[in-house]
Amino acid sequence: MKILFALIKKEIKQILRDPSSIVIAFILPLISILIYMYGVNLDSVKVTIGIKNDDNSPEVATLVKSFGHSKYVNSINFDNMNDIKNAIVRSKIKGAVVIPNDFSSKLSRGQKADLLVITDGSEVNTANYVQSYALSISNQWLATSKYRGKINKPIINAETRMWYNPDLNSHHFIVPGSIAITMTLIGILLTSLVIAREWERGTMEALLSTKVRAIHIVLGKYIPYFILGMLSTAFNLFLTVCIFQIPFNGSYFMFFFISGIFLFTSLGIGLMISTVLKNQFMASMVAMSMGFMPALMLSGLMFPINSMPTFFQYLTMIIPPRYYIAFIESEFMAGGVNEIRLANAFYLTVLGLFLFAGVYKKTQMRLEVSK
Amino acid sequence: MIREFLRRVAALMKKEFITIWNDPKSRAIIVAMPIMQLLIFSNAATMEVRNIDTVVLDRSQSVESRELLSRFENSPRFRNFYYVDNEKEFQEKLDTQRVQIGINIPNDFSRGIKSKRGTNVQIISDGRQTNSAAIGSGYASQIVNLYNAELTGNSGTQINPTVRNWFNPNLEYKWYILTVIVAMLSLVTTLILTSLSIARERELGTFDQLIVSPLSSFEILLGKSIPPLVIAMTLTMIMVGIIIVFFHVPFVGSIFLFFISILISLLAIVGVGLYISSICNTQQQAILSVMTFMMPAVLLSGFISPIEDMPLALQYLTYLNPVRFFMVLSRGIFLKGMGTDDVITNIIPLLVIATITLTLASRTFKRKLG
Repeated sequence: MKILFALIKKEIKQILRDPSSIVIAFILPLISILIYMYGVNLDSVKVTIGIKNDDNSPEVATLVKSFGHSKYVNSINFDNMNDIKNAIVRSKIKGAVVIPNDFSSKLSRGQKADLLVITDGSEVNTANYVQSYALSISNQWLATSKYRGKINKPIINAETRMWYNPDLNSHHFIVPGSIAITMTLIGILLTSLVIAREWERGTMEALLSTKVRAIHIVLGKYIPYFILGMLSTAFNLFLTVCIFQIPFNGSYFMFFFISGIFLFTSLGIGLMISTVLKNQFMASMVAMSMGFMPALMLSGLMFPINSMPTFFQYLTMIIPPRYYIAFIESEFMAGGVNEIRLANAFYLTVLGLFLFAGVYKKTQMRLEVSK
Repeated sequence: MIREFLRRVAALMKKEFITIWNDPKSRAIIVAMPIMQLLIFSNAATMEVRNIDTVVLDRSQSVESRELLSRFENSPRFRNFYYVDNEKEFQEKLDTQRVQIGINIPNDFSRGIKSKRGTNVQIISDGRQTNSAAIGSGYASQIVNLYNAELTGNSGTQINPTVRNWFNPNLEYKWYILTVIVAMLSLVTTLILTSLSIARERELGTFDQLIVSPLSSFEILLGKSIPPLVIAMTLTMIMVGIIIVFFHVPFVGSIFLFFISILISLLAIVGVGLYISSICNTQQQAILSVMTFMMPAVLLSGFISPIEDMPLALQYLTYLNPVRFFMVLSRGIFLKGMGTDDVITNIIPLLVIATITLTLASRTFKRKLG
């Protein structure tokens, strides 16, 4: 016990001496939440599109105007297709709407009127927005235009509702989700360097030649960074809920409890990397490739796991942020759903214990070799 | 004079290569990690919504309601269907995220259709995944509307849109994400290679030896920036080759412009990395600073949401972001065949970033001593 305390004390002193790790535990959440609040928007994205109108009836002029008045669209008028093409290649506009010269005459005869919608397919998401904005603006216009009497009213009205996030505000899910990315980074990055650093500087050999046991070394690394990580989690929650007013419907106790398990797992990944690689350059390369990037790409935050090919859906099962994000989004938006809490906490615990055992075993092997 | 200069730079470059390249483990990590990630992420990451699981509460139990539901069952977007007979189970399926969408058909559904009076169908989506929920419920409304069109005989005044997606006719998400992933992976590798290089020497105490050596700060700068640039450039070209050969993404632009653009983008990133390295005393500081730079740089590069949608202050800030121009250039030349003048407009900011960061980095080489 005394040895363990001494090691923890040493680690804490080291953290305090190079305050970069403390700074990062508080700066990174701040930067990340600011970005997700103000720089990332997944609903109601504003796009600039070009409009080429070949129909000079006054009624169609009001359609062009309604594109200009939409709060989701900036419209620029064009006279020829060549200019539209250049503007799209330059990314000045993300798409265009071309109104053919027989548009109004077909509508007044009660027929289908063609409308050409062009998108910049090199940016797939934005292209989808352009499509749906162009269609909904022109249909809304049609419903209020003088041709509205000739429209057949739909018999079935599809009434769409979104539960848990009725305002369709993507910040309500992306900002809580970003906590998971930040915590992954903090957990993995800080710890992936610590053991590697001791090997690089030769202090590990010094430590191994003393009477310490593997469990002391391992716990001596887990505990200080766990404390730092939990402080950072609390700061994250404070920023999200108190400063940026993201609604939180769950239980604070559950939030900290399961965040603790997640942190234990992240620390495990970082320590595992650093125990195996013994070199800070390699440890940070691997930490980035196995920590940050999968957390961003495979956790379900940006890209839905359900849509991935089956093999990759299985692959996400070994990515801890996946479980944490599922938990955190549900806790924030739907409140406590015990089944979701339990399932995700269970998988995180299993992964965490597995990693802990790995780190312990690896450290013990090193000790035996050196004794 | 020149020969001496070249000899000194070559010696330093050789040493740098040895540090990075000699250890087989480190070699494997530099080459294999990015390629593995390229293969995994490009196959997994898609914003298209597929395999939607659905819960159905059909109170009508009529020919019409079954007709509508069969259209959902036949859609490739929808996967499993759970039929429940009360609100409680319906809600529970959504609460526990067994399903992403719920369809609620009222008991007067069939009567409403037969009498032409009209009726409602409720489509409920799980807002905890706001983005896919919006897309999924869009698909569902589309299916309902197609059924509608059939019921009304598909006549009357309507707008008939023809959509053309330029440069990517089928809107394949892979084409887009591949160019993004290559830029991101090159960014990560280059930043780690460069940011640790000076910090490592400082941490191990060998940097003072380098400074008291006959090398001038310009020579140190060359020796420190060329090896990572060469490694990153080779890696990027390998990844681009994989995209073209294995993923069959058509390369429509000029290879020469593409090569130059990537080289200058990477140079700007090398500059940022070396600058970070020059102000850090330990590798830990360096890697944490890299993260602090990289996270905003990636997220504000236009990869997740378009730059013109950001608040004005952030839009100006992105002019300092080399990743922004890197993404515009790689996607623009690769998929859209961007012309020389547009390429130059995007290269100039990168050159400015490279010049400033490299100058600052080389100045700290001398100042830090003493």
